[in-house]
Amino acid sequence: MTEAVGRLGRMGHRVADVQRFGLLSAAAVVDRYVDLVDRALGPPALGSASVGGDAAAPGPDLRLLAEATERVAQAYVAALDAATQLLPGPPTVTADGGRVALPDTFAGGTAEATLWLHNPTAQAVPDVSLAATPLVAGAGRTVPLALDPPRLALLPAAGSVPVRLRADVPPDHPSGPCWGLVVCSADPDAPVTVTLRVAPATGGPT
Amino acid sequence: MTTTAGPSAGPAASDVPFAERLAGYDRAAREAAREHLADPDLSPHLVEPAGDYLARGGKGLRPALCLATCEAFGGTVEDALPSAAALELLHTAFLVHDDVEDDSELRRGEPTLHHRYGPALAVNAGDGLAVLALGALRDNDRRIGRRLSARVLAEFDFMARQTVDGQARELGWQRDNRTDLTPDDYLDLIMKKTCWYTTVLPLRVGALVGSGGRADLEPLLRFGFFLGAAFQIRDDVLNLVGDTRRYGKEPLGDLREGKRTLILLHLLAAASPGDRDRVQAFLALPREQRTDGRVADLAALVHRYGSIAFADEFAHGIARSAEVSFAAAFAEVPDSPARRFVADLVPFMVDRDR
Repeated sequence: MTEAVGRLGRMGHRVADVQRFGLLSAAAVVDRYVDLVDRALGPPALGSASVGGDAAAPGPDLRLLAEATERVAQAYVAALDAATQLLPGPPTVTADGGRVALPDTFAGGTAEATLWLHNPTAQAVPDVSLAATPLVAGAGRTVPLALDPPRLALLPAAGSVPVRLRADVPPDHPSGPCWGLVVCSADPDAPVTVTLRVAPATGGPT
Repeated sequence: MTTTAGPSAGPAASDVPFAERLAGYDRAAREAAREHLADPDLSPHLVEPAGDYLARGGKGLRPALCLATCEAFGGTVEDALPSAAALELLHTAFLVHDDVEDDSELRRGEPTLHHRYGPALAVNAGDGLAVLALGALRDNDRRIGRRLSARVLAEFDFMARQTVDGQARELGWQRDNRTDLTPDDYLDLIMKKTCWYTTVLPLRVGALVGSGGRADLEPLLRFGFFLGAAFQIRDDVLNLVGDTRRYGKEPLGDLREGKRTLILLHLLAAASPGDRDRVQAFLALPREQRTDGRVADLAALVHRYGSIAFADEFAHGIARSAEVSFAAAFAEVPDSPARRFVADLVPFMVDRDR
């Protein structure tokens, strides 16, 4: 794992963003299954009897416990933020800045921003591709993230190229933060974090 | 059948070190599973191959998680032993069939069942193990009562459906040569094909039995998924960088099979168009044309694009979630050796080298 450690050293603070993306992606998946399992199996509620018994009694309030679990997970994300001093960035940043914050929008709305790819070297980089993960959110939901263009024939020496990011939020998407990553073949060790806040329907984008 | 005393038996149980405790749970479940093969009416052509993997000794994580959780929630090892035996039998059945489907060569450091006995006897042994697991679950009626036993059976039924559905998805992705998958697709897949039977079901059934059916199971679903997902991604990484003697499977087997691991998905996303074309061309090859040289080329790309480091860190985030969600899932459970054992299983499963 020496190679992995060395690469992560170069990735620097972005390690935390990959960890966070892993955490939030997994949380989104498990949220989907909570409903599925509830429908298929329901709560146990088999009773207060000891092993071997068949009596019935109610279990604890599932919703309260689920919310408690969410709070614990959010606390971990907050601690990760504090530890790595990662603060939300402006709507348009450079790829080497490591973060793009899409402007807030409503469910059913569209958010767009520009990601700038800089090539600070004296050599052009041919054949560059970009790929985006969906933006993961709470309650098991995701928002697709589109890139335009997803592929560059050439990234010129000492030059910059804009890439447009676009997120079309589904109409029934819940409010709250969403996270995703953009990976560029020219700098695969440094994924760019993309964030979006879906505003509550009654509030409005800020 | 008779029950076997596990780690909870004996006055020194609270002082048992982690590895010894794990071995004790494993031994108890394995012996209980093997008793279902001890029927003199069964053909040796079934008993011998079906008992082969059980005799090799795996890590024993699944039954240990089930038995320890049962103890932590107030039950005994004996209460959950039929379920742990069923889990071990079903897990072994999945392994046998999985090895045939992937045409794997090694399992636990020895030839796979279909290489040792031929595919026909191996597939039949896998069927036999699954059937014997049903018999093990019937023992629950006597031990824990019919209502709780029925609920445990429902948990097994749901788990088995998820597992075979997940396996079908993975095989379908490989057959259809899908290269448009996201981390979300991957996590959804491993929730089905790995997490349910590796962590979620052992935790939920252990808690159900130990609590007499009173435990809240949703936090255990969350904890189980985070633990199982971190475990599976670690397994994917070990397949690329692990020591074969310790890991027990052929190295680079996942790449050769074209498995859609998080590592491969990252490579497809991060590679330049030219390199991505090379990866896609490899994945389009029939298995017999995926030579050692071509697999080594693909492995070199995986290293060059940092795909292992990415998967490792992604799993780290999930592993930290497992630690946090353990605290939530076991919040109402008093401190005990069994509770501490489950807590210790988290780093053991996600930081392992075998």
